[in-house]
Amino acid sequence: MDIPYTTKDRPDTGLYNGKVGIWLFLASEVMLFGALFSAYVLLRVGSEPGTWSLGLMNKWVGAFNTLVLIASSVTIVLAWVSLKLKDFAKYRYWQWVTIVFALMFLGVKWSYEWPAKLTHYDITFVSNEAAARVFTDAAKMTGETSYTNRLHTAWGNRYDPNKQDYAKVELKDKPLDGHIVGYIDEAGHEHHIGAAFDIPFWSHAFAWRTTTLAKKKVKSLIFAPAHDSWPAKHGAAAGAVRVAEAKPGAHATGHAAHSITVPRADIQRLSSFEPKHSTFFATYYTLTGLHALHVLGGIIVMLYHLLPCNHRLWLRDPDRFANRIEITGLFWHFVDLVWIFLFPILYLL
Amino acid sequence: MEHTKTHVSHDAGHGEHHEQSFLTKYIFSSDHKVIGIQYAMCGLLFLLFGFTLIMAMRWQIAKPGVPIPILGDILQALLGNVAKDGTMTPALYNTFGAMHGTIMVFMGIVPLAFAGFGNYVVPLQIGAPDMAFPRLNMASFWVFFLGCVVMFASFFIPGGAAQAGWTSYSPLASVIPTDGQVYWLVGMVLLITSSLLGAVNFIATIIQLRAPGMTWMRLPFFVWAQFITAFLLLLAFPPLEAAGVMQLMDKLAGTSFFLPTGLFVAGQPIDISGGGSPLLWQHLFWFLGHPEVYVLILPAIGIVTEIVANCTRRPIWGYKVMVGGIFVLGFLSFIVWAHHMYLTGMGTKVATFFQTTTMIISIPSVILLTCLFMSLWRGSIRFTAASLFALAFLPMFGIGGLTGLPLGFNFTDIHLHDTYYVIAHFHYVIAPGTIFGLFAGVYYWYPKATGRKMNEFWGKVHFWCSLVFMNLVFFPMFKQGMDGLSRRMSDGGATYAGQDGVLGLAPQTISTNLDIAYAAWGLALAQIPFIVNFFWSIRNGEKVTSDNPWHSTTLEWQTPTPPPHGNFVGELQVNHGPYEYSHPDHPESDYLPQNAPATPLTTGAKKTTQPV
Repeated sequence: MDIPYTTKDRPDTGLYNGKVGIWLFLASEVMLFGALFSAYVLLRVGSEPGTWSLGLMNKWVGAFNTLVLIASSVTIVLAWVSLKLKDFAKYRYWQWVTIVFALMFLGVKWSYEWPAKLTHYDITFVSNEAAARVFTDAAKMTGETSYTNRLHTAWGNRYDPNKQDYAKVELKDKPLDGHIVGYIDEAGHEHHIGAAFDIPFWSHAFAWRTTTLAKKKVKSLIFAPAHDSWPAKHGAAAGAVRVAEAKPGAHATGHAAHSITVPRADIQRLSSFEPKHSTFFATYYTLTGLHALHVLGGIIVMLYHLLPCNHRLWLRDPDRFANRIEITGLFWHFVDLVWIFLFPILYLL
Repeated sequence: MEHTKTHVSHDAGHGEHHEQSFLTKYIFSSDHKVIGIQYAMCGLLFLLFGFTLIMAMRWQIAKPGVPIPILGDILQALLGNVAKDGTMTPALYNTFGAMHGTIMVFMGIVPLAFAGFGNYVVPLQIGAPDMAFPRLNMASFWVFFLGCVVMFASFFIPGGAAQAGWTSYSPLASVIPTDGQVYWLVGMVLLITSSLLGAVNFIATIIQLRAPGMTWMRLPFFVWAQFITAFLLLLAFPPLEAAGVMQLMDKLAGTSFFLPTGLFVAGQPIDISGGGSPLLWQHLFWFLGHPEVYVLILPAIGIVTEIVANCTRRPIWGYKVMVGGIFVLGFLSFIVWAHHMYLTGMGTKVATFFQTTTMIISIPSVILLTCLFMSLWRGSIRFTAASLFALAFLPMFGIGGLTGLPLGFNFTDIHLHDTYYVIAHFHYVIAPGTIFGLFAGVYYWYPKATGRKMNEFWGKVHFWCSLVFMNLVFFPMFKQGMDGLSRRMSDGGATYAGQDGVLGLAPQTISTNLDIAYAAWGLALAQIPFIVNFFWSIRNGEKVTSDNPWHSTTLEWQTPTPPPHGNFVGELQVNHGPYEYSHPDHPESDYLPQNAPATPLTTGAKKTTQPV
């Protein structure tokens, strides 16, 4: 038994079956991401001032990934064109290039973007007085006596680029963000985060929550405020803190120059930039995570098309094999297109 | 074309040398007919299972706190403390309520109506050798099966299955501390994925694999119904999948997509960021939920149309109008969803919009029903078990549809919302509506799949008893609802009974629960003839003497019985419309098969065709 029009176009529709199938599948994908985009709009429009982050993403890394995906969309077309020109070796070359781009995209996400967020914490405070105390300490690191200007800029860049909401949000609800360096327990002993887990980079990703403070009997937290807004006055390199966190022993350089001590009694909420942090990060991880799964799916399909059994299919029925690559390409363009929408709404707007 | 021909001969030779094993032929089959039967059997089993759940619940409603006879002991043995001493605790009642809805809709009717009948009948009716993507078809069944396993397994985990209703409204669904909801969500994601793959396959098949001469306006109406249904699934289901992923994040990663700021549970503030929107879940859920109603009803209307044409021996009245109507219905079903949400405080302007579209969508529904009624006019109707069910569908669906109007107006909905009136309304649409249509389909196509007819006498017993008891079960609920009996109460409203000097539910409203329970038992007994008949007839039913026992025009009857792998023997050319019954130019026979030669027929009933 043969299914008609698996390879050749049906005369009245001008399409082969697979092409109809993939367009229908993409229509359902549009609805899937459409629903998530709608959720994004509804949650963002309904968010309280100062809860929707507007400047925490690294837009240059995002832009780099956008270029990588666009390039991969071009190379997969080249792979398909090579097949149409009956050049299987060229196809294999461009298919591999596409896969490398796709892996590069995921690599940036997995090794830099997500970990950088998941190890980045922020603190809100029990009272305005407590917040003022901590912010003053942070300002001292920069050599200033008042935190007001610096907080206005730092918080504004993160949550309020149009400078409309500063007065609407209480001081205690304006978070101080940065990295946990260590803590002092109730007996007065000092602990360093890297030593607690001994896994670089992921070492304390979303491991700490407000409840952790009680569990670990923390008296006060040793916290390094984010360097782009609260630079240390001795000019400690921006990377020094992260190294100190990640590697036990490396910490001995002395944290006093680039960290402050935050008493547990002052902390209302401690959270890393994990999905639970806020609806912004919930949306960010869900959207980019689902998109990353699509990228992964694309990589698996592209690798499958490089298997020897598919070379045999190429030799037996070249048109059919070229069609498969065309369909993969259509899916891949869609994955690319989703990212082209994701990049502005999560990184730029 | 030459290329194709060589392949045909190659495959034929292939088939002779390699007999398919039992496993590849009946279990992991990519043949649309086997997959259709797999879906249908799963669907029928889950309909029975979902029915059993509600039977236990109706006992609890009628006699709150009294141990359930027989079933109670089984529940206690299987589920433990939630069925303490064979009684139904409120938690178990909630579980059964949520799962009854989920199972009936997503694991019972959709698999039977859309996937079961669709898979078996659509490729045959359009003259295709199989679905466009046979292996994808198989994958879609097995993903569905996995989803069913997850759902079924959730009954036995600590805390039991989901408890927040089939609609799973957040925050309730998210803050119930057991894992039942997680299983529900994972199960739903699998079921949705299966439906999406199925929908892609159906649409591609109908667009691409119609036989030569099978133009769009020659498609049997059942195919049109499946085509629109597939589009509804394709476009309405993904938003629920997205919502499911978000609720899963709320459950597992602690996010607040659907959880508002300042949420207290049991008097304690819970550790969440807040900022989410409970209304968002309801919008996304009902964006699927309402088209889903049409997913349930359209295949049944398709089946009924086939049988009405066949049993009246007349063309369908207004075929083109019906096709237009079903298109309009499909489109409008995407913009009526918020009529389920009048009481959420979403604003009167929004309510006005959705009230308007809801009133408009009743027009194509009425057109479909009117066309079917008109088709009966002056027909000499053949009353078989199949046609009785199909004919009963019409008034039953009519009652279901008309009682929906007071729910579509927001001012009357304020009184009726979440009462038994709503339950009565949508069960009239789905139980004596859709399910009667599905029974009709089973009786009608059974001879094609098995080569034997089901017993007519017991089929009629099944029909008349079902008809009477269905109405006795659901009609009193309209009254109960108007009296103010709220749904989802595990004691059938006893808590709110009126007492001396205190206003409350009238004694009769509550005592009706017992009458309904008796009727429900009658309905259960009425299904026994069907179940026995169904299995008995596989081996002992009356053998059909031709491939076309109902003397039907559509292509599924112009194949060998049962159709072989690849379906059709020889070249297929369609020359006629779908319902050429009693054609004045062809007085020699009262039906003209779609593939009959374009010249006038000279023979009567078609002889049995044998596979070559």
